[in-house]
Amino acid sequence: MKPVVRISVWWWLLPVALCSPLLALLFGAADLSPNSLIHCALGDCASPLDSLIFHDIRLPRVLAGFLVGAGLAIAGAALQNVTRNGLADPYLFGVVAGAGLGASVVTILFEPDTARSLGITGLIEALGQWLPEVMILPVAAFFGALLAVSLVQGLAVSQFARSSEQLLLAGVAISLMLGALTHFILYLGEPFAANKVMFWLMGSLTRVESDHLWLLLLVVMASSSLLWLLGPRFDAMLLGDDNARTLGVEAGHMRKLAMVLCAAVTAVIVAHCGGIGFVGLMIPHMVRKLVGVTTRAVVAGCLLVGGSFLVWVDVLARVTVSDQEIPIGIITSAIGSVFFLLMMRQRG
Amino acid sequence: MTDPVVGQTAVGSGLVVDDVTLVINRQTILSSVCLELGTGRVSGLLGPNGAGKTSLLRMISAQHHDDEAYRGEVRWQDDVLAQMTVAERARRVAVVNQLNEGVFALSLRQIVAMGLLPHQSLMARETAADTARVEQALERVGLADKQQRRFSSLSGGEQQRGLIARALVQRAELVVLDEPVNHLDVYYQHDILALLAELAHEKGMTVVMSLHDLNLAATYCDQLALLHQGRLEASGAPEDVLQAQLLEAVFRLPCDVRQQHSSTATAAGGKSTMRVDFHPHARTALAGAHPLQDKTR
Repeated sequence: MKPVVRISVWWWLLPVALCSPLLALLFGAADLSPNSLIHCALGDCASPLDSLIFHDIRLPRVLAGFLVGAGLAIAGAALQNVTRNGLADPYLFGVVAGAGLGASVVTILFEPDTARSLGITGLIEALGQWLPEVMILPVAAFFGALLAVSLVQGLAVSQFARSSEQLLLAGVAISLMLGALTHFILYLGEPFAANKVMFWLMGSLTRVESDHLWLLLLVVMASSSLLWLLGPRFDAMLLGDDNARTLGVEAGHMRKLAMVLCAAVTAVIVAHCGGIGFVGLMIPHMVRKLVGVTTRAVVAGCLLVGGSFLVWVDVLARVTVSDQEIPIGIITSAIGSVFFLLMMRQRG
Repeated sequence: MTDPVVGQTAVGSGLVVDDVTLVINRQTILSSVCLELGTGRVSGLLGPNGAGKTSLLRMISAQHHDDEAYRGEVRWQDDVLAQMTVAERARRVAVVNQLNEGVFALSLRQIVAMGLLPHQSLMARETAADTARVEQALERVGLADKQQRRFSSLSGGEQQRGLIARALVQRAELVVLDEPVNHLDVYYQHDILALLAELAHEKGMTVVMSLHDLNLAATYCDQLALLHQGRLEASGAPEDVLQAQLLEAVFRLPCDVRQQHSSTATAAGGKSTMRVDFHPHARTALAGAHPLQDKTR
């Protein structure tokens, strides 16, 4: 069943996804001509300044944009598949808020003053021996995200969230609850630390460093590979848990796995880039229109389309206001909320 | 009243329901049901609403939930179904349920190809043999030209045929169907049941299903079982089960049963079939009759 139509979609999706990051390298505050860009890409930068801009600023930024977009899109797709709800999204369902809560708690606790007043300095030092520093925030965010997905999972199988709209409302409630907790902790904490945490609420790619990229790459690739491998089994879950079980698929285990993957991807993204909303809702929806609903196609499509989408949104964030950057989360939320309303109208 | 067939434990016997009792929310849904259904045959479970047909089918396909307390066991070819792993069971038993296909639209081809799942490892891709198997199954149920259609856009009868094709792809020895001809028009009722009877007789597939229409059951089933309030009232060949006195007691309507030579009875190979007629207007004779239990056709 490889209809010609489907193949032609991939034929233009792939080049677009490859060209987007390359073209996006051209945009930014500093000038970098296409010519010097090509030289840098070939490992032969004209000047040290060019090299600095290319290797330390532009390239990590664009790669981060691509990975974050791709990751959010597959996290959303996984969540939508296993909740059988086209409106599911890590942002709307509180996974982002949960990860933000975890990250905030750790950021506040790890402030030397706070740690001293709580008498947990020793504990933190011990933890520091175990865990490389670059991992602390993502791990904390992961635990927060796990809390959120367990709540969503509990709701998804409970009686009072049978319809997709009810489940969505329940997810939004979880998101608000965890968000409120985060705000409360920030309110209690040091003003300086609170400032540091503010960017989680906005979502931005400015703080991503090369160290973070590796972790991001690892988690996004591992999650999408697993989803791809298990794709046909996730497809069976679209028919409902009972039907999936008659086809040999342990629906409960699969759902938990997808939730954990969603939490992991969301956590690494939130830990470094904050809450970037609606990408996980919009991209899978568009991808299904393009390549169909089977999990393997959706995962591959989400990687390509989600990555390209966020790369361009980031370009927009960098060039719209000169000498300034708009936090990327503001732009995705603005686009996403309109998209969401259009989707609701379509369904109604 | 006919006695239920109680487990003669022959080696390699087909489907054996061995003294199954099921309790849900302190209500006894099935009570000591013993039943033996032959391999390669079409068996029909009959009984009024709430008699336990669906519950028995769910026990047979091991679809009962963890919080449901039950006693006894169901064996398929001497293996206890509840003790098999989910994957192993899926290779041997296919279940045809109503599909409430959700938000994401799958094509008929994609749903039929899901029958390959129990036989595929994680890394497996669809092989040429798999593709051929799917094509053959679609061909067999007469839907080869509709395979790219959205499943939800097919008629009820076509959907049912599609799910039977999936069971064929699944290579299941036992196929369990819950009211496969509900909501279908007369044409498709006969169409689906004739298809199942053919598959049972040509491929040795064992078919177990619940049915409401006694005359369809008499025409297409080799074996019947009559349930009433969670108990097995009778089982065996249609002429043993379809007895006026028994049916009157179970369905609470006066009825008469005749032998007749039916031209539609392709599955029965032209042999005589039973014909059941209920007479709701004469029901004053029976106390407490349920007005909705009208089975007259």
